[in-house]
Amino acid sequence: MLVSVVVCACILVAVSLRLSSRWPARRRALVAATVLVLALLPFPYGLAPWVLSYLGDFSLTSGMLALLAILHRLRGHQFLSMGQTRMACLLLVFLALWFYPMSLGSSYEDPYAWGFGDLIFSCMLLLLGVVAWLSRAYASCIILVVAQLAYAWRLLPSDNLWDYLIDPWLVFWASGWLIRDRLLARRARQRLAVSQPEAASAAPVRTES
Amino acid sequence: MALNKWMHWGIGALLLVAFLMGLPGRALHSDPPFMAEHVPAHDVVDGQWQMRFASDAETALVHAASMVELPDGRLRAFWFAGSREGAQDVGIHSSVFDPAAGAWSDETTVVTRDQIREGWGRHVRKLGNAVPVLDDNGRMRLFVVAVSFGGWAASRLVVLESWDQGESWQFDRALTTSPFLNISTLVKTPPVRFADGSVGLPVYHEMIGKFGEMLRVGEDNRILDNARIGHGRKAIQPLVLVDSPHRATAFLRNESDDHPGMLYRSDTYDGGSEWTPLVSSGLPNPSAAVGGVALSEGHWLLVANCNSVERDDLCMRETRDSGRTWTDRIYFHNRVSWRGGDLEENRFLNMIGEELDGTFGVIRDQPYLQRVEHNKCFARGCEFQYDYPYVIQTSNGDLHVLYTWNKSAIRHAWLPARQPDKGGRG
Repeated sequence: MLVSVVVCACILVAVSLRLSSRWPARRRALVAATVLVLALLPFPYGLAPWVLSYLGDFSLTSGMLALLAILHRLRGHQFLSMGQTRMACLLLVFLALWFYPMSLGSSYEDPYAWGFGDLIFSCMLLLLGVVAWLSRAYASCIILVVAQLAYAWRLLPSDNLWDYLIDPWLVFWASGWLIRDRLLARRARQRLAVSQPEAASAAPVRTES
Repeated sequence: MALNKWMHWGIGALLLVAFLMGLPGRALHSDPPFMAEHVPAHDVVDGQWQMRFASDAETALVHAASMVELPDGRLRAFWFAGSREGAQDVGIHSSVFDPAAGAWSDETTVVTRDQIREGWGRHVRKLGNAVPVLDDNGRMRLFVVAVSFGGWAASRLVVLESWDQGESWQFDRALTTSPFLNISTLVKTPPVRFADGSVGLPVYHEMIGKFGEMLRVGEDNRILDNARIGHGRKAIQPLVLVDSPHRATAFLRNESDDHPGMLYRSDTYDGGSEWTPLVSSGLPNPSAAVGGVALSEGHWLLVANCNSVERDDLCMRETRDSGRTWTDRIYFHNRVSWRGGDLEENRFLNMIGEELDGTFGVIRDQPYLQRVEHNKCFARGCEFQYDYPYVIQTSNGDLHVLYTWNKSAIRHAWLPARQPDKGGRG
């Protein structure tokens, strides 16, 4: 329960830092600290218990990404490369497109049930981790390690391994990130297309001295 | 470079350790069989049923009763009650039936919305169905539907524990049963037991999909497993009747346009790990909850609305061949002839008065009549409603049925295995 509240608090702080990204550093740090304290207060005073009441529990993956986002906003260091983030978001969205309809009743097969203790599911996660490890995508490996260890110690309220790995809000964020990524890429291409003819027309001009 | 190499192998080792630690112990073991708890009793169905009220008509609305046998042979019943369904004042009410005295105790509120809010540390907007389990060590557990926002489709399940046979309760935990915001899981029907001490809790989902499932819950209230009974938008409120250690049948309330007006059925042959696709049971039902009990292998009783349109009757059906053929045994109520919702109020109240006359311990000037008038009479007329049956057989062979009587009272039908000398009224 406590870990669930801390994860939620991290997400709220990350969101507040994102929203205040144009403010001076000192003011943003103050906002983040205030949000953290407000979030961690117990029910009914705290922000996190109310958010959890309406949005459900967040996964540890969301919590870890929020932590990385906080460090990025406060220290300026990017822990995940754009390529790795893009790959992870794509993986999440495709996984969700298969996982949620099946788990919410579209078939007799229920992937959510595997999360209550299924050897094949755990082996699949190990395989995924090994692929990430061989590709040196260490952030994905660490996320898998932390989620499985937290599940072993039952740090979240859920008894299901899936709930440690993904949640709907993480999928919404991944979808949003991919859309923004596409928009930024398109804008960059348009800018390039505009600047290239100018450069091309500018090149042959010679002035005689 | 050396550091990178160490980090690389270190993360690889961590992956392996996390995999081994995250492996659930039960993943390597086979699932336990059911406990087939049949009470050796004679054919009790033809005796004389006695009718009582478990509730006192204290509140405007009562609904969704359940019950459990206490170690001394008494019964404790639970239901939700308040000013209206979904109101903030709805709590879980309870009373105790003493078969020796043939009477129910006064109704008390045993679980409130605030109590769950405080224990859980989350907002709770309203409460709903509650289902009890009594463990061998005397601990009683209550699985309660709690809603933080929206309607019943946003329900979550919480577990409370009692060490004084249901008089007082402590919040234990909320169950996470769905990957989408953990919403849309409800209980209604009696749990079943497994040989390893775990409990099979039939649940159902109502958001996006409408289907049943059976959760296997351990003694520590952790979910060990779940198995789907149907899928899509077809059927809810699975009633599971256990025949033998590996065989059980579920009857489900029909929520689809396929086989309209019929109960659905699904079977398991491996102790509940896999359930067969839903098929029509051939039993008419107006998309209403069903109760029942397995008296012995293949010999089952079902209590339900026995027409395909309205909840204005309630009957008991019996099968001795695992549901291939059914016999209508008893109609607790049959008001099909007055269907339409336009029954003139005086005539309706006279008929309700007759039902009160046939109820032990009730006199007409008690508030039941006013409650029924408030709940079931409208501008164009009045209508009858008998629904949400919950059936158990106690260890001495007695049969007990609780159901919602015109939204106004929890009515109790009791068939003692050995008829008391004083007789009874049906």
